[in-house]
Order: sequence, then C-alpha cells, then structure tokens
Amino acid sequence: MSNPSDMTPDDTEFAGEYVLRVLPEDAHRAAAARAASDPTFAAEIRIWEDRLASLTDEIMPVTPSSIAKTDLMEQLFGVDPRPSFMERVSFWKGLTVALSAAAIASTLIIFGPTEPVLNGPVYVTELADDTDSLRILAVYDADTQGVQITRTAGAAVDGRSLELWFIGEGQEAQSMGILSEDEANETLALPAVWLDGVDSWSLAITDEPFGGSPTGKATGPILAASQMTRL
Amino acid sequence: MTRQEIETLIGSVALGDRKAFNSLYDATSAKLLGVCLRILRDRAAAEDAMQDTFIKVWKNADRFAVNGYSPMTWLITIARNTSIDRLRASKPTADIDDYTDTIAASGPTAEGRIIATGEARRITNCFAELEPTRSAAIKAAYLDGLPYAELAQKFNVPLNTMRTWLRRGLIALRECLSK
Repeated sequence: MSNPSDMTPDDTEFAGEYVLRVLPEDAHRAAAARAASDPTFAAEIRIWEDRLASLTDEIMPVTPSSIAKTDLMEQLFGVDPRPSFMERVSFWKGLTVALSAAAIASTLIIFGPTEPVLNGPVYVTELADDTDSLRILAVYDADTQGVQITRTAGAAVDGRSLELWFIGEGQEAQSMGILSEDEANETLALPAVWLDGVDSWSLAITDEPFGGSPTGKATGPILAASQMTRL
Repeated sequence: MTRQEIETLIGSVALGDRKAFNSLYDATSAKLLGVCLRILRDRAAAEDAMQDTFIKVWKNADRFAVNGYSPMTWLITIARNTSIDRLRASKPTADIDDYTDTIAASGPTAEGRIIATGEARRITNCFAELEPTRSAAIKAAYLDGLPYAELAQKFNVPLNTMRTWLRRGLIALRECLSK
C-alpha cells in the first residue's frame, strides 16, 4: 500500500487519466484497485472529478420526456404517480367495447383487406377519440404481417405527427411508425414475432412531435386506443 | 437550487424520502440528461442512462455523505460513468496491445494569470490557457467519453503522442489551478 510520500506527479496524472476514462481496460482496473487500497490516490481521483466536472458547464440542460420520470418511479417504487399507459389503454378499451362486432364486421366489408382470401388470423378494431374527430379502422392480416390503416376522420395537428403503437398485453408499447400525413389508406408493418405468446393486444395512437417520438417511447397524449378483435 | 439545497435533498434521499427524490430529479435531471446525451448522442439511450443514474443515486445516496464530494460533481460523475459504460458495452473494446505505458515529461508551466474567483471560472480560465490541442483532447475525453485509442484517431496522432498531450494538459491544468 502506498503512503502520501509515494505520490509522484505521475501518480496524480494517472488519477486524472482514470477519471477521464481514457485508459485501456486493464490499466483502468489497476487504477481502480489502487484507489480501493490507497486513500491518497483515491483523494487525487476525487479532486480530479471535482475539477473536471466544471467542464459540463458548457452542456445545456435537456428536459427529459415526462414518461422517463414515470418509468423511473415505476422501476424504483412500483407505483406510478399518474395513470399508466396500460390503465389509460384500458379506459379507451372500455369505450370502444361499445362498437358491436357487427359494426366492426361491416366496416371490414367496406374497407376490407385487399387480399380476398384470408388464411392466417385477421384482427380488427376501430380507433377513435372521444369526440370522433379522429377515426381509424385498423385491420391486421397475419398473412401480410401488416396493419392496414384506413383513416376516415382526423389528421395530425400542424407540425405534429400521429404515431401508431402496438401493445401486447402486459408489455410496453412498441412503435409501429407514424401515420402518413396525406394518405388515408396505408399499411404499417407488424412483425409476426411481436404476436408470439401474446394473447391479446391493442393499438394506440399518440400525438407526437413531428417525425415521431424522439425517445422510442410514447411522449404525447394518447388520442385513441383499442383492443384488437379476432375475426 | 443551491449546493446546500441539493446536499440536503440527497441526505433525505439517503433516508428513503421519496418526495426529496422527486425534487432532486426535478432539479437535476435536465442537467444530467445533457451530460448523458453528449456522450451517447442518442436521445433514447441517454434517457435510459439518466434513469439508471437516478436508480444508482436512490440506492447509494447514503454513501454520498461520507465521500466529501460536491453534490453536482457526485451526480455528474455517476451520470457520466453510467453513459460511458453503456457506450463501451455497445462497442468492441480498444486493442490493449496498442497501448504502451509512456510517461510524460513534466509539463510546461502554464502562462498567464487567473483573474476569476470561483472554482468554475478558474477552471474555465485555466482551460483557456492550455494549448488548444490539449484542452480539446481533455474535453473530448471528459465530455464525449472517448478513450485514448479513439482520441488518437480523432486527432489523427499516434497513441503515445495523444497520451503525452493529454497528460501534459492535465499537469498544466493542475499547476494553473494550484496557483
């Protein structure tokens, strides 16, 4: 073990290199081991950490998405201060149960999938917001591994995008991409593996910054969500 | 929020105070996300690293009181190390054989005088006194999280030259700060 008189200028710079994390892994581990047994070296490390942390003064703060905080609190405490994504989905699910199977079947006939012969399972739902200003018919065909979207009402606010999410029961929402601004009819890919071991699943539409969520997780309000019904 | 207030919050977090944790998050998450984003350059990865940082803070807050750090240094160090761990986990590690242990000669005496008072101003001024390549190398190492091998590539110099630059930069910085 070293004592204070053993500290050379070289040791001090070694401590600085350790803090910067520029050293290759073996040298870095050697420095960490030394810090654990040599309080003087450990003190040098702390001094460098303090000195160098001031460099972050030039970094502008970036406000995290609100969902990052919700996720963090859930991970740590298992509780969410606000209604969770799934709870909100359940709320919407309740609303859309009002759609009868017959209504879904008839809309399927009107807007139905282009493939006349259906082999794999087909799921369908209608996504609508509470004022019906946004209405989307979604049909999933296992054969094409895509969700055919038919938007009968609504569009993204100027400078914003509508993003479609796949939510397997008990899973986190996965983005399927943003809806086209101009096309009322389009097909978004839904890989069959996402449905592996999934008993029931939902689709949701959120309002996101232009081009879609910057985080890969929903950041904007849920405009509509609904469980898929197997036909 | 002052240093004292952040210290008090971390002290409460160490006792399991969730409300204090919430306030600490609100006060510092944007700064820490900035630090993570600078290293990871990807919003989703940076938010994950920032979350991991706060998980570590929650679990280790009791160790803060005894280690004598300034609170922001402690938080920034955790955020930075967490981000670098992530960055390097996703990349092949540098070839260890490229590395030879060269020892820098004593650095030149830093020139000029320090006029500012606060420590942050002092380090800013001392940085300004460094040779531009040396301060750029230290910043790229600290702020971008680059190891020697990548710094050498970025500045297009041999690895040993990079190590000499950086160590001389550190020596000059220390001498300037101790004036």
